[in-house]
Amino acid sequence: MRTTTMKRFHTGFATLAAAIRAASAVEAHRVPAARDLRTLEIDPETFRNVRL
Amino acid sequence: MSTPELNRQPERRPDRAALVVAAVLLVVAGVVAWDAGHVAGAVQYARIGPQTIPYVVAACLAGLGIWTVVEALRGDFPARETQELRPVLWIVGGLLVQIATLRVTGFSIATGLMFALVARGFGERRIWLTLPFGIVASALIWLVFARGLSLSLPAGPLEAALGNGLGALISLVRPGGA
Amino acid sequence: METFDLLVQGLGVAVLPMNLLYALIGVTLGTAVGVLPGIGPALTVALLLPVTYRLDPGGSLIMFAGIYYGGMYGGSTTSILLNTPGESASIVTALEGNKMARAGRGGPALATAAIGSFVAGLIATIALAFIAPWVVRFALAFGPREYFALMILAFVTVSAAFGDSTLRGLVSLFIGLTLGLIGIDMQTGQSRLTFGIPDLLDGVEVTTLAVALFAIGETLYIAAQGSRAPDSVEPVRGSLLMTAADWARSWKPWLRGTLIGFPIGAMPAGGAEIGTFFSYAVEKRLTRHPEEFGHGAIEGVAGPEAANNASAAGTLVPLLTLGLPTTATAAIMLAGFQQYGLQPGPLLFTSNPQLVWGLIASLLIANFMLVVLNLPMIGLWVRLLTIPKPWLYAGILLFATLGTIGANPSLVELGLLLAFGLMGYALRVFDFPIAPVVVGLILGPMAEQQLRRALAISQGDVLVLFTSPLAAILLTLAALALIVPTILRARGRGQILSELAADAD
Repeated sequence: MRTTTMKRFHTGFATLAAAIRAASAVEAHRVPAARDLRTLEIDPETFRNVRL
Repeated sequence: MSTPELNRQPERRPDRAALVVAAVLLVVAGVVAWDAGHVAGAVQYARIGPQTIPYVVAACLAGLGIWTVVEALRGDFPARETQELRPVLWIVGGLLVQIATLRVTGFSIATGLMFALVARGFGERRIWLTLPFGIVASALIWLVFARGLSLSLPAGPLEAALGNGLGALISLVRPGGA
Repeated sequence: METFDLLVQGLGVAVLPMNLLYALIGVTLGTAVGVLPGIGPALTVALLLPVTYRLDPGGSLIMFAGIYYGGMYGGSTTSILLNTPGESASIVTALEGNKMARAGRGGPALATAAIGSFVAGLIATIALAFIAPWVVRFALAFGPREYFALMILAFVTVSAAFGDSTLRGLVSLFIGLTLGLIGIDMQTGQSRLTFGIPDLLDGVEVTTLAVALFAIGETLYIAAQGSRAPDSVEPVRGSLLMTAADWARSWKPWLRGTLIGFPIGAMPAGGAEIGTFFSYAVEKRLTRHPEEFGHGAIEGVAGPEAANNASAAGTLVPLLTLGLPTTATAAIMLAGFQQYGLQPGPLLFTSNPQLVWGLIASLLIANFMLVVLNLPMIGLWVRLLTIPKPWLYAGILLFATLGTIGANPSLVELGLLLAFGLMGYALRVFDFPIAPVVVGLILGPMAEQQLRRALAISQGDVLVLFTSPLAAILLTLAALALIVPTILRARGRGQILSELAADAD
C-alpha cells in the first residue's frame, strides 16, 4: 500500500519532469528526447511527423 | 543503440561558434563594467548607487562567458541544424533597404520594397506581383494608421498624393465641409 | 462572497458595448494568430502595443487578454487539420487530433478541442477570480525585500530551473538584464550604457525587443531552415457534432486538463506546453481505450486542449496579483499595463478595482465568444492556412516594422529592431531560450529598484534581505531552483551514458 503510493508519487514526478523538458524543447523548435517522450507515453516516431 | 553510434559519441571537438558566443559575453561584460566605472566616477557618495547593479551584472556575464568557454571546449552545446544563409541575406537586405529608403520615398514604397525582398527570401520570385501588392497594402495601412489613428508614419510622394486625393474626395462628398 | 460581488461589478464593466467590441476584436485576432503558424500571442500583443497607446487602457487590456485566450483556441485548428501546430502549446493536440482528422473525425476533434477550451477557460477564470483576492491580501504585506526575493525566484524559474540547460537559460536572462540597464537611472538621473546616443536615454523599448525577437528572429530562423514539403490541409469531413460517446469520453479529460493546466500556468515555470504534455500522459494512463491512442483517441485531444487554456488563465494569477510575468506573453502584457502607467500587483486591486475585475469578467465573456467564433466559422479559419509562406512572412514583417515606425520613426530604433532581430536569430540557432530575455528586460529594472529601496532602508546592509523570513525563504527557494536542476541534469547525463553502456552490452 505504502509502496504503491510512493511509486505513484515517483511516477508523477518523473512525468512532470519529462513534461517540462519536452516543453522547453518544443519551444526551441526541437524534437524532445525520445526518453522524455516515452515517459510521457508518446511514441517518438509519431511525434517526428508533427511539423514543429 | 548500436555500437558504431556509441563509438562516435566520445569524439567531441571544441565548438568554435560557441567560443564566439563566449567571447561576445566577455566583451559585453567588459563594456558594462567600463560604463559602470564612469557612472561610479560621477556619483561617489553612495555605497549602493547606479553603478552597483551594473557591476554585479558584468561579473555574472563574465562568469557565464567562462562557463560557456568550458562547455564549448567540452563540446556540450547541442548540435545545430544547418542554416541556409541566402534567405537570411534577402530578408536582412529587405529590412536594410526599408531603413535606407524610408525617409526618401515614404512609408509605403519603402515597406513595399521590404515586402518584395522578404517574399523573395522565402522563394517567391514573382516580384511583379509582390512589389505592387506590398506597396498597395502599405499605402492602405498608412491611410488607416497615419490618418485614422494619427500614428506618425513617414510620408513620401505617394502618401502626399494619397492624402490629397482623399482630401479631394472628402470635399467632393461634402461640399463646403472640411 | 466579496469576490462574487466584485465579479458581478466587473461583468457590469465588461458588458459595456465598447468593451464587448474590444473583447471581440481581441478574440478574433487571437484566433487568427493562433491558426497562423509563425505568429503567436506574444508577438501579436507586442505589435499592438504601439498602436494602442492612445486608446482606453481598460479596453486595450481586455483586447490583449482576448488575444491570449484566442491564441490557445486557434492553435488547435492547425494542429488537427494540418499536423502543424499554430502554437507550441498545441503540439500535443496534433498527436491524436490529426489522426482523428485523417480518419474522417476532424469535426468531433475540433469540437472537443473548442468545448474543452471553453470549459477549462470558464473554470480557470472563475478560479482566478477567487484565488486572486486571497493572494492580494497576502501580498499587501510585502515590502521591497519580499518583492526583490520574489523577482529573483522568478528569474531563476523562468531562465534556469526548467529549461534544458542552466547555462543557456542564464545567458538569455543576463542578456535581458543588460539591456534593462540601458537608459537613465530613475533614482539618480545618471545615464547608463547609452554611449551618448539620445535615443537610448529612455531605455530599450520592450515592444521593440519583443517584436524583433519574435517576428524578425523567428522569420529569419524559419527562412534559414530552407523549404520543406508543402503542407496539405485535411478537409473537415462528416459532422462537426460530437456523438454521445464522444461527450462521455471527453468530459473527464476536460476537467482533469483544467486541474493540471491551471496550477502549472500559475507556477513561475513558464509555458502552457508543460501542462499539455502532462495531461496527455495522464489521459493515456487512465483511458479505457488504450488501443486507440496513436490512432486518434479523443481523450488525447480533450485533455491537452483544456490544459493549455487553463494554464493561460493560471498565468494571469501571478501577473495580476504580484505583477510577476512568468511567460513571454505575460511579460509583454505587463508592458501593456505599464504603457498606461498601471502597475499590476496588489495595489492595483485596491486602486483600480473596476479595471481588474472588468478584465477578469471580460475573460468569461471572451470565452463564450470564442466558442461561437470557432465552431461554426471553422471553414473561414481554415482558409487562412492557404496563405503561401512567402506572403505570410512578408506580411508579418510588414506589421512588425509598422509598429516600430509608428511608435518612434527614428533610424536608431529601426536599427535596434534589426540588430535585436539578428540576435534573436542567433539565440535560436544556438538553442538559447527567448522568454528569459524579455522577462529580464522588463523585470530587471523593477528588481533593481526594489533592491535599492530595501538597501536604502538598511543603509547598505545586504544581510537585511535575509532577516525577513519570507524573503529568506524565497531566496533559498531560488538558490535551490538554480542548484538542484543543475545537479540532476549532470546526474541524468551520467544515467543516459550508463544506459547506453548497458544497451551496448
